[in-house]
Amino acid sequence: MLAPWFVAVASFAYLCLLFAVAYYVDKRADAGRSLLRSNPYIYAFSIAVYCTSWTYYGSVGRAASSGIGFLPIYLGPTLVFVLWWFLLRKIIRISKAHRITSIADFISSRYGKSTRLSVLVTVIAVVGIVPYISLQLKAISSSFYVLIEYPEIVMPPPVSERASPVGDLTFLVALVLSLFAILFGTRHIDASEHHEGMVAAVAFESVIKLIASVSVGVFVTFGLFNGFGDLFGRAAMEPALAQLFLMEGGGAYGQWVTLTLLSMAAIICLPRQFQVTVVENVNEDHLAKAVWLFPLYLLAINLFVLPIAIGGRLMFPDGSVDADTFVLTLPMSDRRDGLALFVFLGGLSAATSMVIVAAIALSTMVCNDLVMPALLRTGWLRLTERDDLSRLLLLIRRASIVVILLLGYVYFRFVGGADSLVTIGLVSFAAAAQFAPPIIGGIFWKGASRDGAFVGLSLGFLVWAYTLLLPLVARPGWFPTDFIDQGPFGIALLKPHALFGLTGVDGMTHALFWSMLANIGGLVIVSLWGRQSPLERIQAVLFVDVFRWSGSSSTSQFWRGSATVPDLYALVVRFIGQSRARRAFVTYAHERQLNLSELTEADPDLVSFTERLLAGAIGAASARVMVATVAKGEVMGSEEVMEILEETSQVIEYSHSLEQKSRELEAKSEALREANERLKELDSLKDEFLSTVSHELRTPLTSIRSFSEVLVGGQAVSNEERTRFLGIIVKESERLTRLINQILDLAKMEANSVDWDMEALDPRGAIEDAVAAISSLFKENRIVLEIEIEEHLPEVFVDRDRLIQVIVNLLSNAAKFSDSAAGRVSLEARSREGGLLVHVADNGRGIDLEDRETIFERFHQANKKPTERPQGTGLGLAISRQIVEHFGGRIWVESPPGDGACLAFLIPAIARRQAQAPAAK
Amino acid sequence: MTGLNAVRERSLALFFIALLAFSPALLVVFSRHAFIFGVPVLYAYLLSVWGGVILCIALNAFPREGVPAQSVRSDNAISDESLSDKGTD
Repeated sequence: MLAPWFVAVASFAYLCLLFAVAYYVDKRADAGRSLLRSNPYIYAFSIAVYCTSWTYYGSVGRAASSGIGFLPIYLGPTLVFVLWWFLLRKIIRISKAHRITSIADFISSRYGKSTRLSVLVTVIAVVGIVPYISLQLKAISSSFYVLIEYPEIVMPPPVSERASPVGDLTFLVALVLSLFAILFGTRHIDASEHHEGMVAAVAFESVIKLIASVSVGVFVTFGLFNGFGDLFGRAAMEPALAQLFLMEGGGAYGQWVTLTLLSMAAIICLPRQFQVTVVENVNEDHLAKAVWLFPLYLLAINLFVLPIAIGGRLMFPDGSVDADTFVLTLPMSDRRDGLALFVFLGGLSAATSMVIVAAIALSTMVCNDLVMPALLRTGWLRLTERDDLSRLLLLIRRASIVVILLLGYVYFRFVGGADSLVTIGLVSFAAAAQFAPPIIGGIFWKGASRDGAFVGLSLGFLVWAYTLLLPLVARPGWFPTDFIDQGPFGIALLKPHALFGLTGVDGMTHALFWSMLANIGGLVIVSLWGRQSPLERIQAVLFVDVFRWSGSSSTSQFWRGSATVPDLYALVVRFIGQSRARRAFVTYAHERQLNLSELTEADPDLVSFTERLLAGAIGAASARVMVATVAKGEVMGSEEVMEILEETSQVIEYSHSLEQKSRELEAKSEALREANERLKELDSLKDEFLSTVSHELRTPLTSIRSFSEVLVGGQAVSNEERTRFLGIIVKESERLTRLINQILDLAKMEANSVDWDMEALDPRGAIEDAVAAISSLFKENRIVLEIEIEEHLPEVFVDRDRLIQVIVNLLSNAAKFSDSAAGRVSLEARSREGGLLVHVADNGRGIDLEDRETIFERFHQANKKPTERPQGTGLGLAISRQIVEHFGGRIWVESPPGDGACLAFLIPAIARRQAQAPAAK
Repeated sequence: MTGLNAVRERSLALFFIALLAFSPALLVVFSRHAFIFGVPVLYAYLLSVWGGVILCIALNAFPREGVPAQSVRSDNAISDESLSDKGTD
C-alpha cells in the first residue's frame, strides 16, 4: 500500500494543498479581507515554525540517548517570551517604524544603515543556516526511505552508497522545495514584505505536525503500552533506560545551560524566526496572544517525546533502528500504515515550513543586503539608471532560493549526512546566536557602534567557524583532519575542541563560550573606544528610544537633503512598479493635504518617506544608496544632530527648573501675604488702641471740664458743692494721670524699654508691702481682706516694685468687683510647683468663660455694660500679665463663673529660673 | 498594582523565577529514581513548572482595563493598505 509512488503523490498533493491555502489567503488579503489581521492564532501558530524536523524526529533521537536533554531547546524560547514586553514588543515596534525586512536589515539599520554590516550578517546567516536546511532535507529523505520499505523496518542507505545527485531523492526534495519557496515567497515584490499566504500555510503546517506528533505519542503510550505507568515502569527495570530519567553527570548541567542560552538567542535571531515573529507581524496586539500560545504549543509537542523515545528503546532494544526515526518506525512496527503515512506528512510539514520560510528570509537578505548593494555600486552596470528593477529583484530572489537549497543539499551530501539531526541543528543555532549581542546591545545601548558590531560579529563568526563548522567539514576525509586532534601546526593551544586549553566541557558549550566572548568583547570594547558617525547616533537613539520617537516624525528631521518630487517618484516606480508607487504617493499627499503635481522640491519628510518605501523592497542600506543618487545633501553634522536629539531633554529640564522656580515664588508670595495680613492686623490693633485710649482719656477729661465750667461759670454754687466738685476734679485728674502713666508703662514694656531692677528676694516682704499700700482702699470700702501667707516662700528673681504693682493691681481689681454689700477678698501666697503661687479671690459675680483670656487684654472691662461707668482703667491686668511673663511666670483666671473671681499667678522659684535663664536668652 | 508597570514588573519577576526553576541547581533535587503518577519526578517537575510559567505569561498578557491598546501608528508610517494590490494590478 505504501509504494514509493503513492507516498510521493501523497506528499506532492499535500504540498499543493498548502499552496492552495496560501493562495486563498493571499487572494483574500488582496481583496482587503486579510485573515491575518483579524486572527491572532494564525500568527501564534506561524511562530511554531520553530519546531522543525529537529523537534519532530530529532528530539526523540536525543531523548533516547540523553533523557530530558532535549528540553532546554524549548525552555529557552519560553523564557524569552516571558520577557516579550521588553524584547519582542520593542523589536517589532522598531521594525514597523523602520520597515525592517530581515534580520540583516535590522542590524544594519541600527548601526547607521551600514552596508558592510548587512553583508556580514547575510553571509553569517547563509553559512549558518545551510546546515539547518540540510537537516530538513535529510529528515524528509530519510523518512521517505524508511516509509517506502513498509512493512519492513530498514534504515536509509548511507549517503556514500547513494546514486549520483540526479538520482538521489534528497536532491529531488531540494528542487521541489525551492520551487515551492519561490511560489510562496517571490510571486511579486511586495513593498510591505508581508507574505500572508506563506504565514497561513506555515500555521496550517504547525497544526498538522502537532496533531501528528501527539497522535504518535498517544499511540505509543496507550496503544503499544498501557499508559505512562506501564511505559516508565518497564523502562525503570532496565538500568540503561532508567538513567534517562535523571540528569546525567556534571557535563550535562553545563550543556543544559548552554542549550537554554542558545535557544533563547535562536528564537529571536534565527532568520526564519525573525521573519515570522517580527517581519510578518501585521498587528502588534497579536503578540499578547502569541506569547503564551506559542510556549503552550512547545509544551504540547514535547509532551510525548520522552514516552516515544523510551517506547522506541523498549521496542528496538538491539539498537538497529536509528532513534531519529522512532516517531515513524514505531507505528510501522505495529503495522499502522495510515498512521505512518500521517506521521510522514507531519514530518514533511515540519521540514517544509522551515525550509520555505528560511529560504524566503535568506533570499530577501541575499537580494537586499548582498547582491543589490553590490550591483548598485558597480558603476558599469548603470543599474541606478535602469527603469524597471522589480523584475531584477524577483530574479535575484528566486535564484538565491535555488542556490541556498542546493547549498543545503551539498552540505548534506558531503558533510552532515552521518550526523544526528540535533547535532546539525545546534551548529546553526550557534551561528544564529552570534546575532544576539548586536541586536540586544543595539536596542538597549545607544553606545553600541557600527565598528563594534562589525568586529564582534566577525570575531564571533570566525570562532564559530573554527570550533564548530571546520571540524565537521574536515571530518569526512577530503580535508586534513590532523589539526583537530593536534592543533594547527601542532600548536595544542589552538585545538578547535579545546581552544586555549579549555577542556572538560562539551563541544557546544566550548564553542558558545569562546564565540560569545569574542563577539561581546569585540562589540563592547570597540564601541567604548571608537566613535559613532552622525547617522549611527541618530539610528541608535531612534532604536533605543523607539517608544518615545515612534510618535514623532522620526528621521526626517535629521535629513537636510533636497530632491525633486518627480525624481523620487521615478525612483520608487523602478522598484515597486507604477501603480503601487502612485498609490503610495497619492496616499502620502492626501494625508498631508499636499498637491503633488504642484510640488516640485521635495521636503525632507518626503525624502525620508521615499527611503522607507524603498527599504521595504530592497532593505535599508540599499534604499539609502538609491535615495542618495537623487537627493542632494547630507545628514546633518553630528553637533546639529545631537542638538536636536538633546533638545527634548533640555526642554524637559528647562520646564523642570521653571516649575521649581514657580513653586519657590509661590511659597514666597504666600509668606508675603501672611506678613501683610499680620501688618494689617497690627494696623487695625493700633487703630483700635488709639481710639480706645482717646475714649478712655476723654471720659475723665469730660468730667473735669464740665465741673470746671460749672465753677468758672460763677453760678450759685455752695461751698460744700464747690468742695465736692473740686474733689471730683482732683480725683478725675488723678485717674487721668494714672491712666496715662499706665499707658506709658505698658507701651514701654511692650517696647522692651523698661529698666528692670531684678533681684533675688523673699516675696513675703513685697506682698506685705503691697497689702499695706492698698489696705486703706479696703478700709474705705469696708471690704474684708483675708491674708494667708505660707511660712516658707521660695525665693524669686524679680523687680520688687513691679511685683508689688502686680499684687496691688490684682487686689484693687478684686476690691472693685467684690460684692458691694459684704465685700470679701482673700489673698493666698503659697509655695507650689517649684515657685511662688499667689491667689487673689473675691466674692463678686465672677468672670464669664468667654472673658477668661480676653480679660488680660488692654482696655478690656469684664461685665462691661454700655450704661455702666468703667470702674478701672482696663490696663491693670494687661500690665500685670506683662510683668509676670517678664518674670518667667504666668497669670490666669481660676474661678468658676458665678462664684466670685479668682486670679492666680505663678512665678518660678529662683533655682528653676536660673536653670531656665540661659535658654531664655 | 495595575497598568503597564505591573505588566513590566511581573514579567521580569516571572523571568527570574522561571530561570531559577529551570536551573540545573534545582533540577538536581528532582533527579532521582522516583515516580509520581507513574511519571519520573524530574520529567513531571519540568513539565508542570513549564505549564505554570505559561499560565502566568497568559495571565499577565491578557488585555485588561487600564492598559491602553499597544499599537501606536507613527504619523509617518506607510500604511500597508496603501500599498496592497486591491485588484488594480
